[in-house]
Amino acid sequence: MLSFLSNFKHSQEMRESKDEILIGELVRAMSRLQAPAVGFYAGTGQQTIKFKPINDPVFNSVLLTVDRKTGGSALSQAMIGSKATVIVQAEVKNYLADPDDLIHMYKTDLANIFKIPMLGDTRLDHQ
Amino acid sequence: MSEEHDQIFVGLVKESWKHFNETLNNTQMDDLLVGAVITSMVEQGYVLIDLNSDGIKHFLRFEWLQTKQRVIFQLHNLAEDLLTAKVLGRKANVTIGYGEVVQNTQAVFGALRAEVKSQYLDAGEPGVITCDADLTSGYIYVQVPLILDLDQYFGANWSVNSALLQKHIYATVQALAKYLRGRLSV
Repeated sequence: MLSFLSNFKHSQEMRESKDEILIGELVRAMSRLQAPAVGFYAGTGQQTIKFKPINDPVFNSVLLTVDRKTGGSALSQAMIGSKATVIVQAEVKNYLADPDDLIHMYKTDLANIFKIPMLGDTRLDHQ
Repeated sequence: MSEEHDQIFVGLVKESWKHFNETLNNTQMDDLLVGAVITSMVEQGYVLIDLNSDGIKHFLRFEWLQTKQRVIFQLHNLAEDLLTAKVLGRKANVTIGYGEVVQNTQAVFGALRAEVKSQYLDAGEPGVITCDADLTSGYIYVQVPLILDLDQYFGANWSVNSALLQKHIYATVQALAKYLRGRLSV
């Protein structure tokens, strides 16, 4: 191969591309909601996409993480199919800088420090 | 610390965010382009089957599931630096490739022969159409590098002109498909 074709895994099966297919559909769906993708982050076994909701009065960004739990191998897909979890994180930026407000905010963080969000649960985190 | 000093501090932080966001918008242009290309292709009916990056260049591969036709992209933002973007405008080097499965191996080698023989072919120049093949999967591709003005697709506040990008990609893919079939005498 002469060109950038060598950057693709040509021998991979379509089964291995299901994460990417889902990501493609998520990017399009969010784009239709006026939230273009502004960040792609790939980790081991999971991929996160950051979206910027344009003109949204509340959200600064929305992060969708696709974590494929099953279907990585042909046997796993045949037995249990392809299952993935999609983690949705919404970010609100209040641009707080007043020291009095910041001290008040830390109380919520301390209360949430050991909270682990499970299916459908939410966790509030300040940064 | 008085309330007045608190307000001065808040003002400094606010101003810092303004400058920070200006730089951030420019650095996010890479990913905004990747997202816009994915949206345009998926809207046309293709599915994304590969997405990777070497940190500077980003590679996308799409497939039309019914016909197995593939479209590949190499995206390279030429104005990652804010100064370059402001002075020269936001440009990207975009290489688009179109591929089909070809069973006739002789036709594949015939199409590739010209590229291999030519010592003067500079595949990096815009508009130069070259053939390439992945013999393991049986695909033959034609590809063309273009330098696109990103300002025509992306406005202020992350707005994207998807219709224009979709039209430009469609026109390029159609031209490449026509060229590939002519080259293979299909």
